[in-house]
Amino acid sequence: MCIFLPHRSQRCVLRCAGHSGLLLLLAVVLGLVVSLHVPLVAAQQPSKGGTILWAVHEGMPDFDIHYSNTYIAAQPIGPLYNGLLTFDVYDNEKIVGDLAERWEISEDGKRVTFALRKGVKFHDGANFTCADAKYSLEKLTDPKRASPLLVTIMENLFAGAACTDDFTLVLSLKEPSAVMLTVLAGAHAAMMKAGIAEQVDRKDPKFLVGTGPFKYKSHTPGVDFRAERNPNYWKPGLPHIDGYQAVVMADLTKIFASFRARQLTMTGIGRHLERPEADILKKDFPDAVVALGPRAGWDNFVMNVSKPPFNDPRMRKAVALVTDREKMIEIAAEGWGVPGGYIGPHTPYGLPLEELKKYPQFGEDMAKRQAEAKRLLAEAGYAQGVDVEFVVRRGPMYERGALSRQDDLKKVGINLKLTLLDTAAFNDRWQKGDFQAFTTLNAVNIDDPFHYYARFTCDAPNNSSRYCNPEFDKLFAEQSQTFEVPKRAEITRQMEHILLRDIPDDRGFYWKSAMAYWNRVQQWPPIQGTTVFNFGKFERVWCQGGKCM
Amino acid sequence: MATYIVRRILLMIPTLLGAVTLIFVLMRLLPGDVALYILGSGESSDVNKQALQQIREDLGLDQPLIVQYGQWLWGAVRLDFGNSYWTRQPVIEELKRRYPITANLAVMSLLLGTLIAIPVGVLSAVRQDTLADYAARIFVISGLSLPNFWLAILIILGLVHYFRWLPPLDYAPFWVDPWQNLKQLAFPALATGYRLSAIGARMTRSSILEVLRDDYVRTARAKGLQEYVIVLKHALRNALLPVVTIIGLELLTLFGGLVVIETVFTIPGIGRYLVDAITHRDYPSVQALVFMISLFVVTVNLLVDIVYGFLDPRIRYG
Repeated sequence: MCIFLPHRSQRCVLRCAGHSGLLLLLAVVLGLVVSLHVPLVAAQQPSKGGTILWAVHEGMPDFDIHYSNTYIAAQPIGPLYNGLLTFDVYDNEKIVGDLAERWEISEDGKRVTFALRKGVKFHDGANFTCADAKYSLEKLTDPKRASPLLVTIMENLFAGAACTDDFTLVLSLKEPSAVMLTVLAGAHAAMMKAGIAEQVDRKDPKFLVGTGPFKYKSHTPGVDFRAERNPNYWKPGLPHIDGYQAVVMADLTKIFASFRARQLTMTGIGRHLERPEADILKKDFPDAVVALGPRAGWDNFVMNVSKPPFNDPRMRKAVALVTDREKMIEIAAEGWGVPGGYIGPHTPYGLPLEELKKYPQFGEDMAKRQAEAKRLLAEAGYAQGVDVEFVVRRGPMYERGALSRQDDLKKVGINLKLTLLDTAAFNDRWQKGDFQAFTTLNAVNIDDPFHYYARFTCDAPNNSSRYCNPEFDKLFAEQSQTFEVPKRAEITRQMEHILLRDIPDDRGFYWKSAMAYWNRVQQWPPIQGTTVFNFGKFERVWCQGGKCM
Repeated sequence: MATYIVRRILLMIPTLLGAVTLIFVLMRLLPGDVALYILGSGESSDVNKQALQQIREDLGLDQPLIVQYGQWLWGAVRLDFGNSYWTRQPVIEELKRRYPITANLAVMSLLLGTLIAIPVGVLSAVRQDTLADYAARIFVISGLSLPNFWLAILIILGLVHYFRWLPPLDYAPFWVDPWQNLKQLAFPALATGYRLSAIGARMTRSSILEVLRDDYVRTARAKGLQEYVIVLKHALRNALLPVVTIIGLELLTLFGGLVVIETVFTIPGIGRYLVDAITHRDYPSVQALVFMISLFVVTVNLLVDIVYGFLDPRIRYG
């Protein structure tokens, strides 16, 4: 009776429901089954179509991903290629086969045999064979054709590559290497067509012939890079989206505004979202997803150990002691950061905070730390204070942390005089070693101890602080040849101890990666330390109804 | 008149030469070069000496400065500005692609600025010391005081906040898709044109006020002409001379503003190209852009002088 009343009360409805309890229960169960089952089925059926747009902060200098070791090349160009191996971005970056179906490491660890996939074609229709893989690996060792960092690694390890047949590649190493497989799985170790670098200039889009899920569509320098689905991709049914467009936008305000105006599918890949913006999204845009995760990038205060005053370890220790990391995280990253040692705290090798707190620079009593720093300064002959030129790369990411540090160091008499420089001028000073201290955001593109620690070895080309400790170098070589993670971690702990004692540079904090995307985008991988480089090439990503925003 | 124009065109040559020489020297005085940028722009930078040397040799940066200057100048004379150090594409191709976009924006800003400036100025003058005049003065003072990059950011934030809309990312030329073109450039043109309209309105107001006190206006009124005819036909034409001068000069300043506006609105014109080129220490691109901008400046100056002759029959060039 009451169900027909136009203004029935809640109580009335409940009473009616009570009368027909069994029927209602049945209806609820049926409803639940239907409502849960339908989206579940829908969720398993990726839609085809859609274009993903995201922002990169500047245009790429060339099309050679071996040569341009930066994310501005890796993000737009990476999905055009496959590697021999790749990181499974959906499974904690486990290394899996890409163009190599399987691989075998010899007992002495000096030979890796790859069984290559058959039936894989380049975008121009040519077959991928062992000759292409051999060519690509050799190119990665050539300083004229690959990035210096990759060349440095490859030169030390790569002894040669040989094809026993069209689909079997044997990689010979100078010594066993734990890092080799991670290098080969990284975004920059792409497999290119044999002879491409000799036939085509790396600035020419014709250079972009890969085997990847997407192929080149267009490029307007300084404006955008577009790619479209490779219809002949060797993984059946993939990719799902029609294509993508990396849009060059330098300004964070414009990036965020474009995202809110739904001109972009994502603010950036693992980038371009700050905390206040995330708060706006959470409040006003229920269909926006804020993704937050670790980042293999840190605020770095590099001290020149070959020049006064930081040639004195007591001065470096004083800097580390008075740096208020929690404050810096608040000021520079608005809370999106974590303190850490010399390797990312998110890696299996990173020291947990409890462990770090055993070192005086991570102690909780700041007054005690400052008193100790003053004592060290006096001991080093700077009781009256010291002026230090502090070179800072222009940009909010660097400037805010620099100001926080300047404030901390002033309290004990280390007066940082800021010199703000744009990237080219900053690199000039850094390259010439013409600095007492500088700050920048440093990062690694593969989360492996080799990449974090190589910069502290005596002869490393990117050893900015000029730090040199033979004991450290010995341990570095040892960890490079240790394959088991727990054993390797034991060695890296010793390395951490040396660095936390010697303080070749001071890690303010490790940044977090943050990005936003619309929830129409499905199967976007969780953010890992190196998502900016390794994000799965959009292979499995799909957009609901073929619309990405 | 013809002699005057020829003389002015000849005088443009040393002016242009001076501008490009100055920028050639200034760019080299800036620390850092494109090779350092190529190797060290990312977070995982890995600059090493061998790679640096290689890039510098490839680009010809290892050659003596005088050789670099001579080569560039000889190319510029033939309108061959060489290849960009950053993109390795011919600079002239980039200019051809980007120049129409900037010109489009400049023309739109100029039109918008003028269309606002003259009515506001006239209204302010004929309704002197009324509410309309005060409102116009507030408009003018705001236009003169607000930096255009700040206004541009406010426009962007306002559009997103209130309409969840922004000008489209893809540029379409006016003759291909006028609606898309308007959607993309109207708001940037507003950001740059506002200052222009404020300056124009202020100049129109004071100029008209001056003219309205002239004898011939009194005569016109005595003859019984309607006020709008006096203002629009007699006063405005004579008052426009200083307005044209100031708008001509401001057009040059407008170009400076476009550099910022194009960057803020992500418009792929020469302003944004210039910012990127300076950041990358892309010498050929910067030199070519300065050459083109200088050419534009001297040409506009010449055109303004010629327009004087048409607006005021008393001005004759010999």
